[in-house]
Amino acid sequence: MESVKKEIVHFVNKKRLFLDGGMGTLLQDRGLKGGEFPEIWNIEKPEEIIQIHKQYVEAGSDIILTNTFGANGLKFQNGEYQVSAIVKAAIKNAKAAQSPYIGLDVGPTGKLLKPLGDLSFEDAYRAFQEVMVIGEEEGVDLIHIETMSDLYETKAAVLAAKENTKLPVFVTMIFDENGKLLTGGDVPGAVAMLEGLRVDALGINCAMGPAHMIPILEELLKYSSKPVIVKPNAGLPRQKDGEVYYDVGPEEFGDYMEKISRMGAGIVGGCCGTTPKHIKKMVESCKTVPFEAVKNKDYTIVSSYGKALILTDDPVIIGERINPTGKKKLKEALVAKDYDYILKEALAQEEAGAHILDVNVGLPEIDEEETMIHLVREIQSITSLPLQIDTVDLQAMESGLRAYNGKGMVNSVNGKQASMDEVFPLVAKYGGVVLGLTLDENGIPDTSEGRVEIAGRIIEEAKKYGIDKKDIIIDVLAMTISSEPKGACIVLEGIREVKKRFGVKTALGVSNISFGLPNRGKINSNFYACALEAGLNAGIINPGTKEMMDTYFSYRALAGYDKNCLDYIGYTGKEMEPKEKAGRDIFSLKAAIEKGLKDEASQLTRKLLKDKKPLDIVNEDLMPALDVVGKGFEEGSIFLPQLLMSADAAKQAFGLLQDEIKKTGEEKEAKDKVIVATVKGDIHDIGKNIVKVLLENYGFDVIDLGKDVLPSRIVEEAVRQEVKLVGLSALMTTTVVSMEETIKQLKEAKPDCKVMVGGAVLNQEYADQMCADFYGKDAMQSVRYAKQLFKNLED
Amino acid sequence: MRNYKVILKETIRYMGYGGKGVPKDIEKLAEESVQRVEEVSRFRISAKRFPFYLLEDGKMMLGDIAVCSDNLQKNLENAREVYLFAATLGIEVDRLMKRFSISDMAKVVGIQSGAAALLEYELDVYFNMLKIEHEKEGLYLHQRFSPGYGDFSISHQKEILDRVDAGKRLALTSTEQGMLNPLKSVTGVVGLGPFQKKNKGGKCGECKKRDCTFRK
Repeated sequence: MESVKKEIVHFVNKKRLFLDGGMGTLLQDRGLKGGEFPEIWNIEKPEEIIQIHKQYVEAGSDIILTNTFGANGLKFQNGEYQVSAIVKAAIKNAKAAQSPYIGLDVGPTGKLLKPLGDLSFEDAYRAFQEVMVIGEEEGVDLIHIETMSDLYETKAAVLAAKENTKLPVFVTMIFDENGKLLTGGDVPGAVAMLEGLRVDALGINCAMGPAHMIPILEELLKYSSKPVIVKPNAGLPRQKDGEVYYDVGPEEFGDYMEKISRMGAGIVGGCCGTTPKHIKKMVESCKTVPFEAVKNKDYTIVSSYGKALILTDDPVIIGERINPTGKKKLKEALVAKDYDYILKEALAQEEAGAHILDVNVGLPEIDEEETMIHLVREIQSITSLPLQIDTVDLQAMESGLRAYNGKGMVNSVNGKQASMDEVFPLVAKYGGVVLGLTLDENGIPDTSEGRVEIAGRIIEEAKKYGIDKKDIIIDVLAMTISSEPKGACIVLEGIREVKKRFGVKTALGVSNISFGLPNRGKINSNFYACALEAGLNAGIINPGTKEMMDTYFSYRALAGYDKNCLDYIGYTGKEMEPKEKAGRDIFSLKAAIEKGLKDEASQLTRKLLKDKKPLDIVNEDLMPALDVVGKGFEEGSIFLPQLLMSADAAKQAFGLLQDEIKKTGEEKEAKDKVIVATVKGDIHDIGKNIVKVLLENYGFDVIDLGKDVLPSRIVEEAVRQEVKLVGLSALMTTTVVSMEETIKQLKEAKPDCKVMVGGAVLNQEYADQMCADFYGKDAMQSVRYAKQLFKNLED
Repeated sequence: MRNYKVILKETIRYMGYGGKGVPKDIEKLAEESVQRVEEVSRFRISAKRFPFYLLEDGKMMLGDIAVCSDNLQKNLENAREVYLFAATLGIEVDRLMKRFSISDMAKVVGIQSGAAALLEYELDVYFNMLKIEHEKEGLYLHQRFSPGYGDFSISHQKEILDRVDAGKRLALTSTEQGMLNPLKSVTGVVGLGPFQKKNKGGKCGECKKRDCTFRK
């Protein structure tokens, strides 16, 4: 090491760096008991920690990690010691070992993030922030985030480090033997997100020994433009006579690490089960291995929590349906916060073949930023397709990118200086593949050359922010041929030229080409074929349009992207499939609902609508069918799945009838409102969702507040919307307390509001103790109670 | 190879059709659900062996975890050691259920049942293998017993997760209230001792909840 200490970043990607090895296993050998927090030893037994650090320094580690893996405010909430005291002591111990460099070790919070878990992204961020700020104040040289299995939590940690400190950030994640994170992500997806967030080095640690890490390392090296870190366990944990041991000794570990270094890992160390002996052998074995810096990679990757999408010449589809422009129903859904409608739209596009979903929620009537955050998270909880954050509102764009789990797309930047000044810093901070529109202060040029020139300027300007052209997709902007006869030719030429000159990927909102013309589908699909042939990588289209999908699948087969034409055969095969009719002689809507046949229920409703008023269909066909099913359920002749199949079929029919009612302006009675919610602390919502579907079937306006809902929020909504009935669900004894609290608050704030309760652990006795007005043993009982209650209120 | 028939039969039972006539549509729903669950789930288990002994005050020690529970004590009668375990099917099953809860609640019930059946099946396979190994040395496994059964408090869930390193090894965590995340997960205790326990009434034999819909 130099006499004047240089910052660690000076060496990253310039020489091989050696980390230390395991801490936990060594502490167990020194008497750490099960259930005892190793971090407390920083204060109670500092000499033990210093000794271990020293051994690693002597073994040749350039960087030792502080004993702070689990030191965060979530774990040390009410303990004897404050987190700050633990972290400060840990850093003091590390300094005492006189290591060349000290890394602040940061592990996961031990909680799953919302919306599937119960920890908010912001709370996770704050927990990391607290520790990292102390780390910088106390003089660590870098932040080492490790053993992360959830990309979203990792993002919170990296942002906390980047926004609150100036320290370099290393991140290692925990992959399984299939190269997947335990929460589902893959290697290119993790690399793309971490690079986008501009970490200084990234890699893999824990879960397996060095041998099993080799295939994952190959993938990491294939995609990463950042130095790769490898920290394996000392093999697999085994148990003999009640003692745990790891099966790879120091010698063998050293040999493997030499191989791993030769493959290209730039930063190496050990994890569980490794000891100073392992590290010593590793350093010795790797000494003769020449160092090779990591080179930039050229993959255009968009990702979500799940599988990464690597854009190649084989074209992909960006679904354009989540955009209120010209879509009345979607507008209504956004205003009414009917997010289920939008989620269904997302799923429908995925099923139709979209690879990326555009999300645009720009409406003057709503809070765009808040809606963007909510929808990004909700859509990501049901589909792993990457999203394209589409907005002109910078605040909504930043919040959308922040809330996004993965490396998303950004729609868009353009050639105006102001646009580039605003959008590029966001892309540089959060990562993303940004759509560059070829327009500038003078508008959209009417030549392809003009548009290509703007593309070039966008790419050049991006470089100033460190944004590589692999992360820019150029859209040369289709203009309608009804007003610009050469519009299509300019676009096609533009696509070819942009690709040739700059080697970037291209996207295009295809259907603009036919604006103002009749039978737009014909023009759109033919133009789409031309654009694909010109080299379009990502068409922004409606994947629910048959002509467009015909073109897409045909083009891929013709261009040789569809091996053995299997996708084409699958696509057309679906079309040819005879509708399942066998044994389904259903002639009435009533029968279709009783049997729970969705498609038939839709068809028969459409048929009935030709001769009957929608409300008559509800009263004469739908309700009687639901009553038959409901009674069958109560009598035990049919079971829950059948009840729900009927409910789903009825829901389909209701949807069509409601559309008709809106069209004809037929008088509609105001619906009775019911709030349903799963109480605070409870994350199980199946029961609540079942009740919701059935209540909707019976004509109630159900306000679904979701799961893990604070009592105050339920009370607030009940008061604000003047709701007369609230249905609460709780699954476990531990959350019944929240139910009791909610009822108490409701009774105080809105005494005329009744409360019905249900859930696995409840019974009449519990319900009475909590002063609930009704206990529903099953979903149908809740419906009956609601019906009776509102009937009594009317009388 | 999984025994698909067993999983399907259990799925149908969890859907509420215990030994009763099962309509064709429901059978199809169960088949599809099991298939979807199999596609997305990744069964993982972490089990560790600990000493087991009784204290004079009536408490049991499972390794360093002190537990008071008559029901568990009965289950662990004559045991010398215990396995603590945590297992999960992974977070993708939760996503699948959430996905269908938007448009198809019947499928959610199907998937929930299929996932429960698959998780139980995988646990049976895992502990059967252990059983065979241990029987060679004259030791016998007891029935699985989870926090929340009888008077075995759910609060022990967090301790078990900690002792088997479930966060790190399985990405399995617990909420403040002790709910497991991902949802289709389980923690538990399996006794290990020198005597083969007679197990009356199969898996449900020790459970006091006689009116349970799913009782075998």
